[in-house]
Amino acid sequence: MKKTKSVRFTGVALLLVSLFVMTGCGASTVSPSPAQSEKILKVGTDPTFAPFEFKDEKDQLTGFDSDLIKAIGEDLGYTVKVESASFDGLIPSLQAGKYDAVIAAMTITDERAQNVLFSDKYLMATQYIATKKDSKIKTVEDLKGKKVGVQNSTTGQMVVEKLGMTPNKYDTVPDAITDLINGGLDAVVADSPVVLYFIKQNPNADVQYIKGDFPKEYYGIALKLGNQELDDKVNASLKKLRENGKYNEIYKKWFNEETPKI
Amino acid sequence: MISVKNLHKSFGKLEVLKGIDCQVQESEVVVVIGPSGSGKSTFLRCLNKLEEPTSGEIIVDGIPLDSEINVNAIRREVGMVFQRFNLFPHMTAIQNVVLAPQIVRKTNKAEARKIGLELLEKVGLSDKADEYPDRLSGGQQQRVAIARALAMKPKIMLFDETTSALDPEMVGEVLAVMKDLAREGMTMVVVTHEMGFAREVGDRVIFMDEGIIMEEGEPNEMFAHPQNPRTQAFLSKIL
Amino acid sequence: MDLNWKSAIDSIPILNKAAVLTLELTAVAVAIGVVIGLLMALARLSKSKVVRAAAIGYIDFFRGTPLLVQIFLVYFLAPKIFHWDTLPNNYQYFAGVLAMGLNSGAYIAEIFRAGIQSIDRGQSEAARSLGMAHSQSMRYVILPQAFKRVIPPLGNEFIALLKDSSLLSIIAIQELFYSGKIIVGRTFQPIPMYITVALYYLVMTQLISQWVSYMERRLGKNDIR
Repeated sequence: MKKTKSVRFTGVALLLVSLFVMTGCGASTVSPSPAQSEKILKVGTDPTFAPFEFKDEKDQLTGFDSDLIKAIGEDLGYTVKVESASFDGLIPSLQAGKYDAVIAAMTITDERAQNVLFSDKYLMATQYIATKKDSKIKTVEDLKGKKVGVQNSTTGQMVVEKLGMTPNKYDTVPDAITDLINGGLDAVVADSPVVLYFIKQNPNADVQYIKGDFPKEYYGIALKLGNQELDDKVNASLKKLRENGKYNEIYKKWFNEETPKI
Repeated sequence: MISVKNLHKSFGKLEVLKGIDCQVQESEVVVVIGPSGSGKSTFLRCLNKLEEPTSGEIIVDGIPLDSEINVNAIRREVGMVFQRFNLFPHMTAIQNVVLAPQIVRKTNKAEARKIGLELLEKVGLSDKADEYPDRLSGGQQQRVAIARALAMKPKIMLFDETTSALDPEMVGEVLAVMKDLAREGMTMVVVTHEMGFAREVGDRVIFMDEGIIMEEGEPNEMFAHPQNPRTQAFLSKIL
Repeated sequence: MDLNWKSAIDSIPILNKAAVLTLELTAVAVAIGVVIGLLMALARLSKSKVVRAAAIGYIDFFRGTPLLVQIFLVYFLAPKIFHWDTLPNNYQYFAGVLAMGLNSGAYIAEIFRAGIQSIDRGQSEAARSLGMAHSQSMRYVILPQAFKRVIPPLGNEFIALLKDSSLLSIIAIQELFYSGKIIVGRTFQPIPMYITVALYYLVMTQLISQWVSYMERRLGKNDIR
């Protein structure tokens, strides 16, 4: 008799505990936004894009974008809270009001500008072609007819599609480069700093890069359409950080050189 | 006590009961016999609506069995004992007995336990009160099942081949309990193959075959001088 | 590419945290699923055609569409249903657990239904013959017996959901798989990382199935009839 009873109680207790956990979790996840007095800037990013945004050995977000947005937040008196999402989910979430801003090495394009409000450009980049070291691909033209990988929804995808090709779309750049190394792709087209960072981190990897002649592109911080007030503030802050040397400090930390003129 | 008029029951196309008329008086012990497939168990199960009659009228203790509320009311007054005991395996003997009084009759716990122990005593199992059914023999389980039915203080008891699933040496202990009940004046309808029991305890025997009552009468008279050829054939096989 | 196992070993503290989160998410989802599943199983066995049809519709939808699609649907639909203009903090956890709970509710409903139906008819007949209402017979007689029988399939559902929780990476919940993916984003070492992640899942599922068979043995004792 005791046995069944204790077992049944265990079952009931387990269920109750899990219900508590459930309601507890519910309460903490759905807690209302803090009062206006503590100004919070909710920022979305995709933390798989080193050196712009990635997580360090302690699982803390780091990278150029991360440092920059923190500097902007500090300047404007906001507490910056960064949340993660996959890159192609960032703009929908921004539109849905989940974030105030998105900083994710996002290139300013006309198409995106119809859905979000971009800040002034904060960085110049271009697309590089990553290939194996013995690859015969030397120019953009050589890509034609080859298997090319890109990260989904990125400018890499756009420029390859402009060539009239259909690239293989990957969730992250490392996924695409891994496939390149494994022989599944002939080339990967991705933002220049990311390709350079990969080669720096993996000097022994069978990967080289080609500059190609893709157009220059500029990164911007994305805000919700119509949020002109925040846009003005962010632009003023960007300008200030460039003038007082803070921007240059961050740039040097991540790219090991002085800020180029853009 | 029980009045059945023109009871029909079909399972799909198969007509199992083809018009049963029957009266049971208070304190009467009616024994229903017949070959398997004759519809006797179905008839019994209609009396507390475990089977839904296709047509006909059943009145138990003055209440017609025609609405959900009445059915639950009737079931409280009509105890049933099954061939396969159907004890609740997750409960001890005493828990089996006190469950219905507690949740249906709202008897308080102490009172229910007291009644339960008395009933187990009555069926000779007071020492097994805290055993689970799987620790009891078939005969013991069936006696617990009888105590469980009695705990609702029923006015009528239905027995559905209560000894058929038992090893022969256990049949006697269950029949003894049933005989005690009959002697105390319980109204009983008993479906059984135990002709000795029918003869000794029954006030009336009903012989059913092919969904109708072929013959009924006082047990000794009927066993000695069956009128219907079917009854004669059946009795000659089993007596 | 050289395999750099150090990157995976250094990540163990992060993966431990993510494994705990994975277990928590699964446990809460299964708890929601048990509640929904019980209600749906009872609805599925209801006398009312409408109630039955609603339950069947629910069960068929969540078993007949991919969990991945359901996660996205809940993620984008929930704010509309709850009329949230701005999303709560950590909204993705809410949406993810809700989607998994709704999904497992459908599977658990079928587990409960099978459990209830596996109980001998004689049990409910005995209960009804004692004057118990249908609900009383369910509560005191059928369900306690059915619960014992559903422990093993519930354990299997827990394991299946634990593995499927990796799909939550798609809405950036930093469970085990997404944690691994983020680390690969820094180290560019997918092979050691995903082998490590797979081992984490394997250890968790093994431990759970051991625990389930232990519970099964314990509960099975009084189930011989």
